[in-house]
Amino acid sequence: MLTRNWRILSRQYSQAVTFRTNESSPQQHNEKQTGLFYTLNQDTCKSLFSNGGFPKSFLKQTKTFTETAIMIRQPALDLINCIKSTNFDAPVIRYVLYGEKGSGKSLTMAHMIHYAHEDGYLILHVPWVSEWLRRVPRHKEMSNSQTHEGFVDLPLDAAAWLIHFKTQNQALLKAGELKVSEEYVWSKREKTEVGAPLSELVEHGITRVKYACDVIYALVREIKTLSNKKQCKTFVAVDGFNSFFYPLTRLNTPTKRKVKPEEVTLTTTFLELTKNDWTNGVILLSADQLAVPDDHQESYFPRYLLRKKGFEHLDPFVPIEVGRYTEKEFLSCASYYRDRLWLRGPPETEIELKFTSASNPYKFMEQCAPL
Amino acid sequence: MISRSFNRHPLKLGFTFRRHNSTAPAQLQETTSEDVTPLKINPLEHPDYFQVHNLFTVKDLFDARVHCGHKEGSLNDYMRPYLYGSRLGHLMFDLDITAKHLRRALNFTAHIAYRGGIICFFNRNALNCHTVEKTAKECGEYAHTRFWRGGIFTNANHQFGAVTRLPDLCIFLNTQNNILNQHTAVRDSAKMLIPTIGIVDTNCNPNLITYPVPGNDDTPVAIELYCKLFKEAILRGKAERVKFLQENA
Amino acid sequence: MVFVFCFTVKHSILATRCSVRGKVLSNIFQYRTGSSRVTNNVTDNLTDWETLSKKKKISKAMKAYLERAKEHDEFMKKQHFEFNVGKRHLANMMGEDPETFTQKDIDRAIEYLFPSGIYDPAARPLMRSPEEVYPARKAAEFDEAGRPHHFLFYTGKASFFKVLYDAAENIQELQKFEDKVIRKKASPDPNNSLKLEGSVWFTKEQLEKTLVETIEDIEYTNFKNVMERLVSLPYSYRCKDFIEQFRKPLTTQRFALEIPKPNYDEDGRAFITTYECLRKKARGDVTIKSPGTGNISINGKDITYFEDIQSREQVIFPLIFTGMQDRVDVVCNIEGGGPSGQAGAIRWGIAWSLRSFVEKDMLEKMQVAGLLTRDHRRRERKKPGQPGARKKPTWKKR
Repeated sequence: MLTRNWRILSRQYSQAVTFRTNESSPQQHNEKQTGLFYTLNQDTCKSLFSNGGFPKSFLKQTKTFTETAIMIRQPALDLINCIKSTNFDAPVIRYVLYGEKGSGKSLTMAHMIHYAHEDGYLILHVPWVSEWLRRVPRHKEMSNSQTHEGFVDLPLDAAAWLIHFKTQNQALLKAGELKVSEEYVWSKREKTEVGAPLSELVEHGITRVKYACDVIYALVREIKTLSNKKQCKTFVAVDGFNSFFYPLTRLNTPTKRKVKPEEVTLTTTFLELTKNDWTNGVILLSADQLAVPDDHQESYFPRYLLRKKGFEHLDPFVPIEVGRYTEKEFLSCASYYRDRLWLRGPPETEIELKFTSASNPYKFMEQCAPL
Repeated sequence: MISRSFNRHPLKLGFTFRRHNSTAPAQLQETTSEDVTPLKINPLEHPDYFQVHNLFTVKDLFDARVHCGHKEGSLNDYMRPYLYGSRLGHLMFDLDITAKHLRRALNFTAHIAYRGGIICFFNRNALNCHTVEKTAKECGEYAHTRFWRGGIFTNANHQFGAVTRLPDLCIFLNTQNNILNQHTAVRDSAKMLIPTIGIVDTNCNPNLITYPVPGNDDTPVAIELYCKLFKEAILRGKAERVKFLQENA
Repeated sequence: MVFVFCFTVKHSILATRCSVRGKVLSNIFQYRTGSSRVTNNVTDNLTDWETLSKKKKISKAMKAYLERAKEHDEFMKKQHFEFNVGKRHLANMMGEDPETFTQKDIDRAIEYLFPSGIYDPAARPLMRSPEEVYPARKAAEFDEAGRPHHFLFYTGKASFFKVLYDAAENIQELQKFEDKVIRKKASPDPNNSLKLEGSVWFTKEQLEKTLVETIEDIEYTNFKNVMERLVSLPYSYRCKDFIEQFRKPLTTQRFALEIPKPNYDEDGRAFITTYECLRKKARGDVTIKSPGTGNISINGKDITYFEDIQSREQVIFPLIFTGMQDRVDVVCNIEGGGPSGQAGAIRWGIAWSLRSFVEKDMLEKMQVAGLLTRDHRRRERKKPGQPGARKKPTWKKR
């Protein structure tokens, strides 16, 4: 029995050569390793992505395979190279990932976050914007904003995001070098003084949900100033950015009036963040069809998804297309699935699958599920 | 009226008449005299014009097991005159009587063939039917060894669609059919006034057959012997006919 | 005296006939009438008989047959004449050249002039040459003297029983041959054994047709048994011709249908276009280009034109089945219908075009796989009084 397991394991590892790589640090990834999978450390995973970041189906796959493995693909490598060679004194460069549904934008973003984490960036990661604006249960906890007139707040979401921010940047926050530069008065009894560490601000936001949105706003401003002062380098990642620009959200005021995204405080916050008026950072956005209701999912190009406003706001940006699998990537993915014993059957199935899924990564994953 | 009287066993009458005239050794001289005299001998006058009597001996019959009959229980009463006796329950034919009948039958066959008549062989025993068909083919005559459809003789116009000429002689190498009843063709040829020759075994009824030949009808050897003899007789008759036609053409 | 006279008369006609009755045997009549004129001289009968044979009197049977044959010939001639005249009229009506008006043209014209909604094609109006319309008749079965030609004539089914007889002959001969071989201590050569996989025995109808005789079921089973017995002998290849006479080959001649040759377009690649790919209200055309890389383009879009897996599977199935998935390019335009109909239409179009690029055995496999059959099913209409095409309102027992 043991020998049999051993044999299976050894067979697996002998096959592992073709599609895996042992290089687990994104910094070391280079073009030789396109199409190969690398495994993420479990702890890193937890800290980075426990509150989002991976698509749901991927999470399920992670559980099934008992490991988190991401494929190294060309767009990610391009990004890494770009980032390595950026001039951090110039205003931040905005990269927009775009591509068909399921072509791997979120995973590429995850890859980049991992890289940023390794590299010691301060990460501001919004896992999925639509969650705030469109995923509305029966009653959303909303409140009218106090600082901004006529604006709507999303306190719970904000608090959740702050927690996420905290876990992602635990190391940097603990180091405690980042200080608040202004004083923020929240109410009669609460205020944050100058020089307090950022972590305090964050804690305050988490505990005092009422003020969470404003806390985020304040946080964003601080981070901008800090980056300008070269105290930290920032990595901003927003997945589904285009939903900020869609004219309607699913939110309703108590008077049953539809809320536009511009009336949500969080929107303004992140729009501020993504302006290119600061330095020493990288902004990575993604424009996804799924972020928008089905009527407007005709095309996946940024110009269409971001709409006029978003386009103007983000102009200029670097568009990066995340395409479907190439031959090599496809085969590598297929052999990974086989290794995980998820795809079984004769090799001909691979040919068929290539056609039926049209080499779309998501579709491929879907179609392997019943096999 | 004449025809009616004529029909009452004419052949038997005729034969008896001729018998008084027959003298065996006188044959040869009479045949040779044909070339000499313009008046030819009427073949009908001759007791054995085609010398069929020389075709076989009683020993041949014995070797071919013609004398074997069936068991005593299946004896048909009408066959009693032809029996020699029985041995261990098996009935034996008297081969002298058989030989006499057989010679008559062969002579008759040869005359029919001489006159250009149609001869039809009948055998319903699956063992020998192929031999019989083969014989019929070889002598240029006809055979019927298959299932007998009801009206072949009696309803011939309807069966064959057109006006047909029926056989002038029926030779039964086995007068019974597969269920051991008498073959319908025996009765039908009697109805249509076709003379018949039949090999009658101990369980057969010789009444309606014009020239019965008592003997074994089951053993392939016996059947082959009969076929050979009949074939020979027919061929001789036909050869004479051809010669006659050529001489007088 | 009269009596004696009659008696001699009796003698003279002894050997020829014993019955006078029955108009069938009218030879007798002639003989009898002939002989009644004769004197007592016995030998005169012979001469009379010979003169009769010289005159070569035809038997009444033969006469009747000749009459009927003449009648039939005349009838057929008349029919032929009418057919030809009618053909020319038809050609004139259709405005075509009467000289070169073939049977196919006739069929087309009749279908046009007499459109018939009758389901059975044999019941529709047809105009054919008289030989095809009137059933075959047997030729004269007996010669002038009334003697039948065939030695099994009196059985009624001469040709059928002849077949059985031949089979029996062959069996016996083969058995003798086998004995001889065994005596020489040889063994049968397995290479020479009969190959009967691609053929079946004639059906009863076919046998009847070949023999121009009706056959009973029992007789047909008998025939089959006999032939099987013949085939089962080790040296049956010696009677191959005889056996082949009664076997019908099974191979379908479908691929005698023309397989189109590919054209060559500007780049020098061979391509085939199939027009009219229909399925269930979807219409389109498919072009296959030969040296290709497996690109599929539907209405300008990729295979993602179809969003569900089943449609995509339908489209790629013919390619994967023949193994040509990365050797050809596919370009199709399609409109109408829904995803399933369109997918089916494209699939048929691809398979039909692939015929020119694929070998024969693959073709047969494709046919067996049903790739080459056009699916003729259409939506069935809803009937009044019922909720759907087949669904009936709830059945109540009482």
